[in-house]
Amino acid sequence: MKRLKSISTILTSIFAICSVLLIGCSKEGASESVSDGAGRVAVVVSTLNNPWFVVLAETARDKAVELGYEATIFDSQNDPAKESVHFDNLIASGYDAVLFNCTDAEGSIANARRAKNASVPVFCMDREIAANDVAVSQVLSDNYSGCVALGEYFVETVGEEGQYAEILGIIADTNTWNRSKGFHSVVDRFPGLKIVAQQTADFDRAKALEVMESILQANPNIDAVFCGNDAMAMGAYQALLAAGKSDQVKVFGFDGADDVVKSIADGKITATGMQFPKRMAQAAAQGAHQYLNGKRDFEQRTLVPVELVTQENVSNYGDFGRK
Amino acid sequence: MPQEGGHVQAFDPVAFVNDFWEQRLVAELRNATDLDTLLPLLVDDPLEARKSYGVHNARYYFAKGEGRVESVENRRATLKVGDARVSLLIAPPVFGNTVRDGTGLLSVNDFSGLEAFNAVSAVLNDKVEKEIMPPLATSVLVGRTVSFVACAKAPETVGDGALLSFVPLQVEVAQ
Repeated sequence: MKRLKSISTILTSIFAICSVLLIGCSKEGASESVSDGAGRVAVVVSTLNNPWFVVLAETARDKAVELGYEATIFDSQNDPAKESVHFDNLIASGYDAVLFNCTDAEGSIANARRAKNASVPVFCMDREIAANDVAVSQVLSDNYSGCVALGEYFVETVGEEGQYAEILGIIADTNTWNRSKGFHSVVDRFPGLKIVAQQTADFDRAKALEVMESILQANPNIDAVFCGNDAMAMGAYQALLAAGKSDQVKVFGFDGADDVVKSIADGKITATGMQFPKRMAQAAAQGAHQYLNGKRDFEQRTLVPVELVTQENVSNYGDFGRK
Repeated sequence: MPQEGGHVQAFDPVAFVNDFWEQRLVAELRNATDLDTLLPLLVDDPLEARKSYGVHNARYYFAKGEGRVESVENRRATLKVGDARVSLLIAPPVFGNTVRDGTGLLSVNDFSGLEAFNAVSAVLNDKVEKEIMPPLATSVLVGRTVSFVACAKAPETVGDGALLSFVPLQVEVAQ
């Protein structure tokens, strides 16, 4: 019985390793960088179907390699089930640490806990998991404060009266609500500003385009749209452009993605909140390195300030950060 | 409209804020940095001012002082404090995290997560609006002397004419 269990364990491990290697060869799976270091770091990212997360993941990977680790990116494709498989694989494969951008604040806790229980430390980047005793640390954008600033600029530019729509991100992601609540903590204080539609587009550009088209059909006279990330802002802008309303409707995003920063400079998008994906990814990788070298006293959460990017200051920003 | 789901929390931000205000903040007001110390240093050596007196990663100041009201405009009073001037918000709305973060007493790591931490911010702002600000509209008048304890964001740069912009936690107006 004991022997059968051993064989089973070995087969599971072989299967897991093969899975990682297969994913590594696939177009949408993992990408691997190898260094001469002894340790291995997994970068598990919610999606690579968004340039902002590509920057987050690749910066984390590159920093880990710079610190002497072998690093592999696992793309969860915004699917908690895929994320769960990635954790099974990386635990079985003997990774030393996980730099983690989760798909679901609640649902991802179990994955991170499995890693912790297998003595694989987890370091969250950008997206929070809703537990204090699972990740070693969480380096997170101060989304709420960033959207307070965005909300104040929204009122300043749109005015204290008008109609607007909101396109939300993934409902299960706390970032979605921290952004929305920060924005509404300001805008809701102006009763002349009426929200006529609030729909989710899952942080996805193509979905946002469709959602914006639908919103415009029912509400052709809106003055502005607040989008929970920049990919959706670009999708919304495309829909407005196609409808001939890009000059009528002000678009606000959040992230600081390069295409939106350029669009702000071109006068197409009104404003965004600059997060700093490179800073967060490097901090997470550095944290993992420190942990693997013996450090244990980490702050559970560290908030990275978000900066408002407008036409007035856009020349200061680019390449997913300050120039 | 979409609803937030999966984050039901037992945390009561109103109860927390009431307890925090009475049990911790009131006692801490006397320890705020004296504006007579902070303001000259901000002019002479802003980096040192931030390093010595900044709270919450040096992003805010928690200060107390006394000044004469020079003007009241757009919900704000401009006060002359010594040779310097500051701005004091005297009417709603209060936005952002200046009250929550500006005393240095609260940390995100004291809470279950960002939602709870942000909820505290909203309740603190509401408390300032409802309990501190109501008498100010009629009492903070040009020429009067105001004693206050307040929080302000630390400016990235100084010397461009922008005043430190305080949100009040305690205000007394000499009649």
